[in-house]
Parts: sequence; C-alpha cells; structure tokens
Amino acid sequence: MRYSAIIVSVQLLLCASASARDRSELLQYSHPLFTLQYGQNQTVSTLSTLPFAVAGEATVAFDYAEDKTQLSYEGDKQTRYGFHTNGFSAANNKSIMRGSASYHRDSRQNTKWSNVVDVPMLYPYLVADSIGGTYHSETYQLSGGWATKHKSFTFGADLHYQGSVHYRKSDPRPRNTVSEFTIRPSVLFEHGTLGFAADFGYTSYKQDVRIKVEESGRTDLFYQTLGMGLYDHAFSRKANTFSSYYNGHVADARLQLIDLRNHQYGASLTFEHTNMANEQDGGVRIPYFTRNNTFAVNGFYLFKLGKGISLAVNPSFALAQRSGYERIYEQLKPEGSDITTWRELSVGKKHTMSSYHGSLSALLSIARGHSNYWVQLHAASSGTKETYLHPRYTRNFDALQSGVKTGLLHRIHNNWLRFEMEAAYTIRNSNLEAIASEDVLLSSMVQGNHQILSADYFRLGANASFAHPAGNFMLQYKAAAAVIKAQQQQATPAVTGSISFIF
Amino acid sequence: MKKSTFLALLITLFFSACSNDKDEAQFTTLKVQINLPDNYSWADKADFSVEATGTSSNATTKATTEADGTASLLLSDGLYHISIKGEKSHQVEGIDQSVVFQYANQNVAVSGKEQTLIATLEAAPLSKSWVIKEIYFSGSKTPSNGNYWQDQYIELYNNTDQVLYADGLCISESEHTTINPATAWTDLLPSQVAAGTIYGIPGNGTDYPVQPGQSIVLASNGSNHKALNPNSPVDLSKAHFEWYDEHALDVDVPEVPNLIKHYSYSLSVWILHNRGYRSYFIFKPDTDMPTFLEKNKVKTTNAAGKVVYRYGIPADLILDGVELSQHNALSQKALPAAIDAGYSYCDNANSGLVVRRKVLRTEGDRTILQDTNNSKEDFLPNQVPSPFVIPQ
Repeated sequence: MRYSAIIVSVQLLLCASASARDRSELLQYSHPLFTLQYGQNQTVSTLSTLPFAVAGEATVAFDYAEDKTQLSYEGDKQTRYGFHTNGFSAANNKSIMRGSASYHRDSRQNTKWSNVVDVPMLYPYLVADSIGGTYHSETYQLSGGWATKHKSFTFGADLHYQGSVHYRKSDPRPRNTVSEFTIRPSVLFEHGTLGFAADFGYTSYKQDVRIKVEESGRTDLFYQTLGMGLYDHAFSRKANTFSSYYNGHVADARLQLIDLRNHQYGASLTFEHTNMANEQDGGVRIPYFTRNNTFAVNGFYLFKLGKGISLAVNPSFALAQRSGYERIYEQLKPEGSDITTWRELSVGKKHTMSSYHGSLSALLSIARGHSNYWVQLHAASSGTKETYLHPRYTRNFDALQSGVKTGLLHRIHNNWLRFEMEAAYTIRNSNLEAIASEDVLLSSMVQGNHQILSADYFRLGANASFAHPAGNFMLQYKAAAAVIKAQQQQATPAVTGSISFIF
Repeated sequence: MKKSTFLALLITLFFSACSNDKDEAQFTTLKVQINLPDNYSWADKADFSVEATGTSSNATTKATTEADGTASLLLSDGLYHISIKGEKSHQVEGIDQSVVFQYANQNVAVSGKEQTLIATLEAAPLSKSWVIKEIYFSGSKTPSNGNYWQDQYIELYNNTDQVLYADGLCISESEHTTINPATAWTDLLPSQVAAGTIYGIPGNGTDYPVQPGQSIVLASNGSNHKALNPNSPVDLSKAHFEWYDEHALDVDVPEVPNLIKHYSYSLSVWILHNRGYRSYFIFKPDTDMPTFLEKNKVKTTNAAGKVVYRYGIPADLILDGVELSQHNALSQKALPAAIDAGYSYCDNANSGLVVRRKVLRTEGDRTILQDTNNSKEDFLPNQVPSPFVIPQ
C-alpha cells in the first residue's frame, strides 16, 4: 500500500505551506514537532484539521546515495532527480481539494539477484539472475482528492495512480512495467474537540516482467526464487527470454483519533491485507501467491513542560505476517495435439515470514524568541523470521537502532534558516539455519545478503535549508549530506539538494 | 458512522483475512510398496533404496525398504521423481549372477495426509555387452550463427572382455519426446519402446569385429567437420559408419560406409534432437529385419483421426539406452527404468557438447565404462566431444 506517497506529500506541505496573508509564516511548520502533530496519515477528509487552509509547492530535487547496508536487490548506489508538485485548498467551507503530480528518474547500480522491482512487496517469489547490473527507471505519479462537508461529517475520496518503467541496458535485460492505482474513500467525524477519521483503501498492483538477452547465441540462467537462496528448479531455466507477471490486490482500513483543538495527542490503527499472485503462461498457471497481513498502531502525546518548552512522545508498533503458497500443476497434452494444458493438483503453504517493528521517540522542543531548538531521541527494534517448509530453511533477522537528532529553526524577518544534525547506530544480527544441500540452496545469493544483514552500521548526517520571499512565492533551498559506515565496509556518502517554490 | 462500527468492521476484516492461514503447510506420508517382477522370487525385498526428488526444490528424501518391501517417506505437497533401486545376487549353476532392480516414475503428485505407491520394479542384468559411450546430439553453430547438425554422432563401445561383432546392431531414436507428458507411444512401456528411427549396421555376422575396450563411431556425416565449419569440435572423417538419407540436405561420403536405413519418421534427413528431447538405444533384432518390422509394427490414431505407425522395439532386445531430456524438464520417460532409470542432458542446443559415459575402472589396458542402467549416475553432461578416444 502506498500511504507513503500521501504522507510524504502532506509532510512536504507542512514544511512549506503558507497562508494567503503571509506565506513566510508557514515555514514554522518545518519544525519536527508540527510534522508529528499534523503530518500523520492525512487523507483529503482530514486536511481541514491542518492549521492552514491553502498550500502549494513545486520542487525540483536531486539525490545521490551510496549505501552498502541494503539487500543486494536494491543495489548499492542510487542517483535520482525529478520534480514534484502538490497542493490543497480547504478555504471553501463546503469542500476540500488536493492534488499532486511527480516525475523522476532513477538509476540503481550493482543490483543483484533480482529482475523485479518492489522486492519487499513480491518476496519471496522473485525472478533473478546472477549477473545483475544497473537498473534505470522512470516514474510518473498523479493523485487527487476531493472532500465535502455535511454538518459534523467530512466525506472524501483520494485517487492515486503511479506508473513506472524499469530497465537494464546490458544483458540480461529486464524491462519491468509497473502500475498502481489506489482509491481511498475517507470520512472525518467531528465531535466537540475530538475528530474520528476512517479511510479504506483499495490498490490494484501490476508488474509485467520481460527479460531478453540480445547477444546472439547467449543464454542466461534465470531463477524463480522461493526465498533468500532458494529457487524452484522446475521453473528456473537457462534461456534468452524470460517473463513473469505479478498481479496484486491490497485492501486496508484505518481509524484515527485527532485532537482538533490543541493537537496534543493523536492515534491511528491500521490493518492491511495484500494478496499477490505470480502468474505464468498468461495467467493459465498461478504457481505462487502470497498473503500478507499487517497490523499497525501509532500515536503521540505532547507534554507542556513550561513556556515554550514541550516534550512529545511517539510510540509505534507494527506486526506483519506473510504466507507464501505454491500450486502444483500436472501437464496435459492430448494425443496428437500440440497444445499443452495444465491441471491443478494441489496447493499448499510453503513459506512463512513474520516480522515486527516497534519504535519510540521523544522530542524535546524549546522556543526562544525567533528561534526553535529541538533534540530528539529515537530507538527502534525490528525482527523477521522466515521459514521455508521443505527443504527446511529458517532465517532470522533482528535489528536495534538508536539515534539522536538536534536542530534549529530560526526566523530572520521573513527569512527562515533550518539546520539539523543526526547520528544513528544500528546493530543487526542475521542467522540462517538451512538443512539444504548446494543443489538446493543458491549459496552465493544467500551469503551476499547474509553478510549485508549481519553488519552493524553508523549513520551521521546533517541537513540545512534556507527560505526567503521571492515575489509572491517563498523560495526554499535544501541540502543534506550523510555518511554511512557499515562494518567491514568503507564509509559511503549521500547528498541531496532541492529547490522549492512555495505558493 | 460510529466508532464502534469502525472497530467491528476492522475486527471482521482482520479475522476474515487471517482465516486463509488455516490451510497450514501439508506433509504427506508416502508409503512405498515394492514388487519384484515374476521369476525373481529368489530375491528378497529388503534394503532397496527409495529416493524422492522434488521437481521444484530438487531436494531428495531417502528411505530404505524393510523386509516386507515397504518404505515410508515424509514429503511436503508437490511433484516428485521417485526412483527405487537395489542389486541382488544369487547363484545359477554355481556362478554368481547379479541383477539390478530399478523403478523410476516422473512427476508423481504427492498430496494429502497419506498416499500409497505400489512400485513394480524392472530387472536388468548388469551390462556385459555393448554400451553407448558418447552421444553428440547438440551440434554446433556455423560462423553465421546457423545451426550445424551434420557433425552429430553416436559412439558405441565394447564394454566386455571379448570380441563383439557389430553386424546387425541397430541404433534407434525414441518416438517420444521426454519433455512432454505420456502419449499412446509411452503406453507401450515397459515391455516395448516406440522407435522413430531404426538404422542398422550392415554385415553378415562377423564382418565388423570390435575388440574389447574399443569403440565404433556412427556419424551423421563422415567428414572432417573442423574443416567444413570452424566452430565444429569434431573430425569424423574416420567414422566407422554414417547414416545417410537420400535427400538434398544430406551428403554421402563414399569413404565411410552407410548404415542401413530400416525406418525413419523423417521425410527428409534424420537429425538428432539438438536439445536432447529424444532418447537413444541400441538393439539386435531377433530375426531378419523385414519379419522383425512386420511383427513389431504398432499403430495409434492421432487427434486428427489419422492412423500413425511406428515400431515397438521389445525391451528385452535392447542392449543399452540413454534417456535424454532438458535439465529439470523431464516429463515422461521414453525408456523403461530397467534400461535407464535416470536421464542425462546438455544445457544448450548447438553447444558443441556431448553426454559421455563415466569410466568405472581399468583392467590392464582395457577400460570398463560404468553401466548401472541409470544415466544420471553413469553419464557426465556437457562434455567436450572425444570421439575415437578411449578414456582411461
């Protein structure tokens, strides 16, 4: 599910939104406290709870990051540039509108063991080759929403579409065409100082994977994976073409509690169910499918400690359970016929993966004159257990992260300066128990990822932004830099830059 | 809508989604009961090895039969290749004689809590005759990237300590393609094998002696292919025989004697399947060829209603056979398990590679090749061709 697109859009709005009177005033919402208070899971129905009624932004951004802490599917070097624009208006007492659009281009270098994108969503049934390479992609996104008010109720709906194409320019050459469409009806009920919000989302997800080898006479080995290092011998083959198709359906429901008067507390409860099928032979066979259930709870409470001093506490917890099912087919070929048909013989659960993620953060904020300071302590714990039935295979992964952020937001007339530093250390532990021979387990795929997941890493970063009036707009420049140092790896850099027009 | 309504809906959604997870992973107890063929009542049923290899996982689960011929394997749902093998010895007129009993069944569907498989094994004396040493079916590529099949060959080997005569020996290609499911032709198994081609070595019985530990090469075309196609790995100008089809696509090399073409399904030329979808076997007919063909003619009616004829070669006349298929894609065997319980392969068509029989041991100057009637164990896939070369 793609809450993230909406959340990110609204967070950006929060960072940059402006009232008609004084757009400069709205830069105060780039303080992390306001992001916590207002930036949680907004839909078009809840935009009226924001402290401003109209906002808009257009941004061009560039990112470059080297990261050797990610699984090999993702590569270790990413370049991204593009633009996005979004805005909303709740100025009309009766209705609210929002919209966003974006386009960006990516390249991910040194990807390995995956010829699909959105691996976390499709896992464990991936298509992989052992060659890997640089993935290029282009992504378009368009979303909009409209809501209307009736007494204490606000009814609305968000629509979101994202299309992307991903490809490699050297053999073997996958070309992945991905489309996602989401519809999200939502409702807000205001009762005194309390707001109760609910939204229900449905997403249709499709990924068409077509791989070809252009070099004459060359064939490559394509694996149909069943988990990290496991693959299906019946479907894996050496060939100069390979194709696969993923068809997914995601349904989710969420409840929110909003403190309409002071935004001193808030909570949300989310349930999401995903059904992802991996189809072969144009949908004649569906040899693999997964079902994924996620349950998440999130909340915050703001303690007022004195004039201009507050402490916000933000706990969150999520549980996920994924089951992978495999169907067995019998091949039938009527005598004298060239047409092969398939008959389903059985279906069974072969793969399970359960995971949790919990986090707690405490944000101390101090306002003095035209300056705001903050210190945020953050701790998170996550764990994953993956099991394949036969051959018996169990993988455990745990991570514990702790970090600190400190920053300053300072106003000089109508100009805003923001600076933040962060440091985080992540301890990771990966454990693999496999009763499987080399014939069964692709050890080179396992070992590479196992080493990555076993390495602790340290991240040190800083970001700064400056915004000033420019005619009817605010013009904001942002820059960020970080260094990531993983065990037994050289430190790698990451830099980001962007320019935004806030209107 | 009230808060309680939302909560009720959420709880309903959560439990309805979780209810799908009730279908827990299934393990099946596969109970195997072996039966030995008639006339082998002297052999006991204990200690036969039973192997089930998952077509998806490639993981093998093993068991050994008890005295009553039963064995149990705990398997997860899926398709399995089941193979059973045992070697038993007894004395016939004071001389030790060994017999290998084998069973092979591909793509056996295993599901449910318990399943029984009754396996009737086939018996085959350990080889003391001709064996197929090498099959070069993949062919090579021309410099212009065309398929070059003219350099294909099959090499036969005298695996005994006595002189054997090649006269009358026939080479055949299976009618069945092993990546496909069973057809009317495989219904002939295990007593007969449907042949798509039959080519025989000429001679009157003693014209073509082959010494112990020596081989003969049957070529598609007896030429130096290295000179004709720089990508070809073989010189077959010293081939002992070639199979020649009177067709514009074929060339008759006068220096190399031709095999006798008894039958071929092909209306043009016989080309070994370059992906290895067909299997190959050698046999000696038990009577003159016209009579042999007449009495072993079999027919079936295809989907179009047309009657199709082939020849069902009696399995007890087959001296050796090699099952071929695409790696991990074998659907239905073309040969009885007693002749070949496994299969071999080359990964790619036109790769210029062969399947070659392993060396078992040497006795003096003579090399004895391994022949357990299981090409998965006896053959090496993807080997560089070595016609005329006797391995040590």
